[in-house]
Amino acid sequence: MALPPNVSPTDFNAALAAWRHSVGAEWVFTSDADIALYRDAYSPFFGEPEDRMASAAVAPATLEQVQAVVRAANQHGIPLYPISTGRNLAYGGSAPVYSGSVVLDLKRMNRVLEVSGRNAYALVEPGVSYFDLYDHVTKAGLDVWIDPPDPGWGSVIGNALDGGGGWTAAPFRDHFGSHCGMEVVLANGEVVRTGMGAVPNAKSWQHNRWGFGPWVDGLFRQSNFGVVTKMGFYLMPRPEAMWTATVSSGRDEDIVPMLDVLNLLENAHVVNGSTQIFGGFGANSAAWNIQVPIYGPEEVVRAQMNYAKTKFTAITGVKFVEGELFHTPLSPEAQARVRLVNFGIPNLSTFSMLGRSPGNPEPDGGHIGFSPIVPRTGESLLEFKKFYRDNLATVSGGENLGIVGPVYMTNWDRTLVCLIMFPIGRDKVRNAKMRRAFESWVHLAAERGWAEYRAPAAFQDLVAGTYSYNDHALTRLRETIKDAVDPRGILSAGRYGVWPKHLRKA
Amino acid sequence: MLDCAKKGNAVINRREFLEAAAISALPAMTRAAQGAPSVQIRASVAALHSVVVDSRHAEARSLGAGLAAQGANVVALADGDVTQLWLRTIGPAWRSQSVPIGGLTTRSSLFCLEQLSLGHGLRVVFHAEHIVHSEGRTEHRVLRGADAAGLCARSLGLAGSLWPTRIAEVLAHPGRFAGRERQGLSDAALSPTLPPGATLLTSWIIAA
Repeated sequence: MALPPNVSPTDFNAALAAWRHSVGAEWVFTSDADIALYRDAYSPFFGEPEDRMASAAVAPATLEQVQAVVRAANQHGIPLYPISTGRNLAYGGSAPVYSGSVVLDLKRMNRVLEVSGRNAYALVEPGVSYFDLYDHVTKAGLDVWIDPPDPGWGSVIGNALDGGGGWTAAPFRDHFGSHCGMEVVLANGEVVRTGMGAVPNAKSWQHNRWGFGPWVDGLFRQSNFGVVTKMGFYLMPRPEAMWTATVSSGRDEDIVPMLDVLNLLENAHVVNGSTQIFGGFGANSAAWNIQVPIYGPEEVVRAQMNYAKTKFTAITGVKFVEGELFHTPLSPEAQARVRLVNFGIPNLSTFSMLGRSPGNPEPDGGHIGFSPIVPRTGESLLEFKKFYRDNLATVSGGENLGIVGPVYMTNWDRTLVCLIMFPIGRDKVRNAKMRRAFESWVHLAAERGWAEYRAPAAFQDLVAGTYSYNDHALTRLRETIKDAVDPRGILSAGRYGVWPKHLRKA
Repeated sequence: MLDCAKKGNAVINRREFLEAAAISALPAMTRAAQGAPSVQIRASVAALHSVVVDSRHAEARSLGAGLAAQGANVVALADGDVTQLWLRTIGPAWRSQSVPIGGLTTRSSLFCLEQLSLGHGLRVVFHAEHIVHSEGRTEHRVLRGADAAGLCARSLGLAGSLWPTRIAEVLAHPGRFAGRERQGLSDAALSPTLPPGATLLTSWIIAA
């Protein structure tokens, strides 16, 4: 059995005994085989000493058990790494950022506590997956949609806390942005409820997120200030219809007015679906395609689509082609020809498609994502496209490393996420090249004023370091908060670049 | 990983020879079994809740047909996506009992099913990779469960194009893996480096 770093056998054994008492011996895992399950399946250090490993895992089933686990960890100075379901693949999975931490596995807290069809919200525990919530909503016959990411097996809470997004309409596809109320266990074991939930016997915890006074929920996003044990989410009332059009142009420079129109339509909430931007390839194909989905009542959708068409076709040379209008609920036949996540239906199809191509029928499987955010303007997009093209060969050391991208995602209003995917396999030499390439992209992007919204555990310090305005003032503020709410530094050390005082580098 | 080549023994041993001979005889036996499968084989195959095959690959179709003839519940994946299999068949089954499953699929299908199995106390107990090269040769690696399966890369190689039959025989006896030391995650998440034009297939058993 491995020990957490800087923890004595006496302290570790005392903590394990306390956890076995409070959670049950069968839910405290110390064998090598069990601990190995928490490895990062897509680790860029696969098979190398730097691969992050847990020392043990403990799986409470209730709020009270979480409190007991955290209190014992705090008493004995044991580093904990809370996970929801641990399926944050491509961004670290269930492996702790600080190797040797004990994984606090919340998968057993898997209750859907409430779903309201009338006010369209849900209250769930961390172990509830998108599949679970979809199943609950479907069986209950509620007329609401969930917003699953690709893939749909992850935790609703975990995805939101990591800054994940989905594929239906705004604002629901911004998963943290559409949450309403949290329950959090602090490092000392105390329970806090945010927003209206701070009112005893609260009647509007999942109705109003702001409550009274400073709003603290953001402190728990991509953070290590507490363990989130409940979270509310707004759900989307099932729209009558969904209609997508494809806007295309054969000229590269047309992306500038095209994105201006798209921004106008999105910011005015005329276009509410998750738009997709594709750069064309080959001399005869369009330079740009934008898919423009609209959700809502059919007659409203038709009016919005007409308005969108008027705006887009005012750009000379731009084509606007409406696709099939889908009525919901989808028929089984319709389900077979749509991308299910656009209709709130979770699935795992991404694993059978990701990175696959005629030239690469069996891709490496693992990948890590480089996800810088740039302003949503045509000029920025063209600049990023040139930046990628100009630097790819140099960053890759003149080799074809199989780097895929950029994919331009529109998770949030007003910005683009320019996703580049790095394949990870079992070849250590190739993985090392991939890591060097990843680091180069981070530095090169930062020189342009671009930075990532999310990063694999192995690169979180690197990315946090690029948010360095005024001598890293933001990092220092976060460290001040960390020291105040978790003075012994037991929770998720190093997560998103925030380290406790005793592990902080000078 | 049990790999005959690592024994430093370049010469086929008696057991491997006998295995290869037995495999050569298997097609006829399988055809005979289609009419009246023996009670013993049926009972073993029934121990697997489902046999999952990726129907895009001839080797997997062959394995599935053989096991179906022996009474196995064979499920074909048309595109490698396990979602419906999980939602309609495997997930409901595992919620009531941690039943074993096996298959011959792509690596990504195994990866998904392995991840989904962990919460039900199941593990990958047998895992072999089969790299089908563009010229038709197949290279094998038995990554997990070789001893219990009585199988190694060399014996699979000796089976030539009949290697799926050898894997079918392993899948038909999941009980061999009971009581063995439990291991962590398999390597299904990541692929070995493949030569151009090669395809990677994976055979596996997930069991308690």
